[in-house]
Amino acid sequence: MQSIKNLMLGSMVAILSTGCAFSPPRPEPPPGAIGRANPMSQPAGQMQQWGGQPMGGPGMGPRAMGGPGMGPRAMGGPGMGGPGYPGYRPQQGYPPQAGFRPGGAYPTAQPMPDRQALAHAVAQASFSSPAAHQSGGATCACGMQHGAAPTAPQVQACSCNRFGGCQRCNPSPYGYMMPPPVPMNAYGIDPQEFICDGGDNPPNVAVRRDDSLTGLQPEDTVVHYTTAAGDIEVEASNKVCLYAPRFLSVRKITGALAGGRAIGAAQFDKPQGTSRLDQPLPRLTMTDSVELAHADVARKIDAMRERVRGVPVDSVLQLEQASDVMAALVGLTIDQLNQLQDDEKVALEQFSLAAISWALDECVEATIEDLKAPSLVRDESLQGLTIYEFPEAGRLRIHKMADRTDAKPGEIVNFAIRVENVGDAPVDRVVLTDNLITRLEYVEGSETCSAGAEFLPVKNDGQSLRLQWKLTDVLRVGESATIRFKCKVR
Amino acid sequence: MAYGNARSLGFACCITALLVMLHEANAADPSDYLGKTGRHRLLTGDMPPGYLGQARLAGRGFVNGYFQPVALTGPKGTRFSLTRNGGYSEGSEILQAGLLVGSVYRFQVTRIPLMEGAELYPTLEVIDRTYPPPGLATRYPIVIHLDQEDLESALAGKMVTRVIYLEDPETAVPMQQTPVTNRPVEVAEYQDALAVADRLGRPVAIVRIGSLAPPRTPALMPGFFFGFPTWAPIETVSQNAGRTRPQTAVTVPGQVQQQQLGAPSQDAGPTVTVTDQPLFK
Repeated sequence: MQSIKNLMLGSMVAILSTGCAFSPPRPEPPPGAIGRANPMSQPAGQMQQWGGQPMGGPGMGPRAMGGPGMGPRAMGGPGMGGPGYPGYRPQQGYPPQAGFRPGGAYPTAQPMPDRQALAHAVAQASFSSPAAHQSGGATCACGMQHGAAPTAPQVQACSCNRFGGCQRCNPSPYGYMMPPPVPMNAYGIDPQEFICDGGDNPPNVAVRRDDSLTGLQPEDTVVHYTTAAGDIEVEASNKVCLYAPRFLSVRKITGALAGGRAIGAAQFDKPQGTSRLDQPLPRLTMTDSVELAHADVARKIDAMRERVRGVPVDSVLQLEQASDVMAALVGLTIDQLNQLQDDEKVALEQFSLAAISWALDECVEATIEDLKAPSLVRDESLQGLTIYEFPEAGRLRIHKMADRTDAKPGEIVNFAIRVENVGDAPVDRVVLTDNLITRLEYVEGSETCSAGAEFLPVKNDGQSLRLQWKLTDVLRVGESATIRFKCKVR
Repeated sequence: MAYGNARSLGFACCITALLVMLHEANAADPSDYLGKTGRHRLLTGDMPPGYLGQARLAGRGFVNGYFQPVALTGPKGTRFSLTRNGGYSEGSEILQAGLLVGSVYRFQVTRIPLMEGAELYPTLEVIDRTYPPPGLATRYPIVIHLDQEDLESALAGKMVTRVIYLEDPETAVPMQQTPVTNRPVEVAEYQDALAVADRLGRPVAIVRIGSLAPPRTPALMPGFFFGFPTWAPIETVSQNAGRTRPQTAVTVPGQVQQQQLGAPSQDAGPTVTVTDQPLFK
């Protein structure tokens, strides 16, 4: 027990004195125990991490981790002092003296160990490279080796002093990730300062059987249409963003006499507007029977070879006179006398095989009225089938534009939505829907449409309007329709 | 058997009553100030001026030296002015200036309607900045509107704390923003205005109204003015005034940054000139 305590104290003193993880002097390890990890290595690695990178504490919200929406509550960590406190050092992290201590004992009560002895007792830190674990002898936490020739490549920047201790090691984490040194707002923008309209935010818009839409968020701008094949397609537009920050305030009036003043709203708990959706979301399981919306055309093969069998011959004309006798048959008694003799069986068998092979391998071709007769091929099979699919339905492209990139409250923004049939077939029942966000107010009577359309403004959940245009005509190939309307920024 | 059933029934009733009591205690507990996370907030809106700004400078993200454009408005006729060369100017109804993030500014409010001769010296602390696209920094300042109730309450001896926050557009209030309809969210004395603002958006500035007069002792003046931090005036030039601009003005299109404005002086930095555009339509 005392030896373990000495080991821990020695390691702590080494850490505090050199900034690197040292292991206490230990006996000569057996050959099989060279690469064994040091149980003290993990706290040493944590100390390196906490000492170098000030981390956020309990006060940091989820969006404060590098996001632009960081509030003041995310400004400090658990150990962050304020400007009013003595010893306040911003962005200094935890000083090593007050840093993380894995054990309860404080090492300053013990005498300082000899640094020469510690030079040969450098332990493997948890974040050192695996090669450092496997090398023999004393190994620096960052890969530098002492007491023996370095066998493993030094992958970390490290310098060792003449006492054998590491100075200014910069080990890479091994086993866990260290937060990258990215500033709070790497992109220089804050999404809260923009109001966007368009696109299709999840959940995606879907069309119900009664032609209503589900999943329509306040920013969404979609068009759904029916193709020539009967399919109902939904296409989302691009997103248009305007820089329009709006500043509100929270007021608290306090006086010397408490309770002498009636104050209005005590608390705001529920966010207003867009966080609620009255439309029921689609269920996870579909219980209704889905009918076949579109029957694909039965595809046929391009060509087919007929297999024509031979027609039985009823009336066989007998040969009356053989004027030209085949030379092969001369001398056969079965041909002349219709008598089969044993010595002719071999010749007959040979001629029979030739006849069979002739009938199978070759085919009869005849020319009838300049048409090539199909060849009779035995055991014909389909070698391959190639199906050419051509686009059979139309496709709409929707594009949304705004005439300005920024707007103050009260200013007018002109929007234009253009739908174009870029498919190969006309589309029907084109319905374009733009669900305005809370801060966009539709200017009454400002909409125009280049094609025949029925305009239906409906109040949405964001206390704004859901604008819907139903085109009355079929949108043919290449045709387009442009819708323009004005909105006032609230 | 009957005794066993009765004992079981009684035990179940006790458990149910205990659960109900616990549930009611949690729901009606007025001392639930720790919130859902069970932790204290490190920063509150009741902290002294300068604390939040310095904490923001010590936080993540580099905002040092950024002059955040701010626009102050009030009731009609009210004039606002920032200190320049140790004193205040006549002021203007719409005060626009680039203020350093993390600094505290003491400005003067005069000509308050129905309060002739009264003056107020509120403080304005910029605790965060905005990230406008290039060229739009002065067009979209942090708009701070003080209404009549703010000024009257302060003159009546009360302390008014306004935490200005950038509204989250996804949870925005569906209301047109005008000086008339721009009503603040009122919170009670036991509530933290900063916490409420942080819930509704991103707090960017804090205005504390309560001081009626500067101290008479000159030694207290630097403390009263929080060290006279540097600020950059933003002069508005009317669009109908022609194309002539003052010779001393420096036109900086886009963001107002320290590199563009030069070394900070004790009072006011170089002037940024923008065209006169109303804050509200």
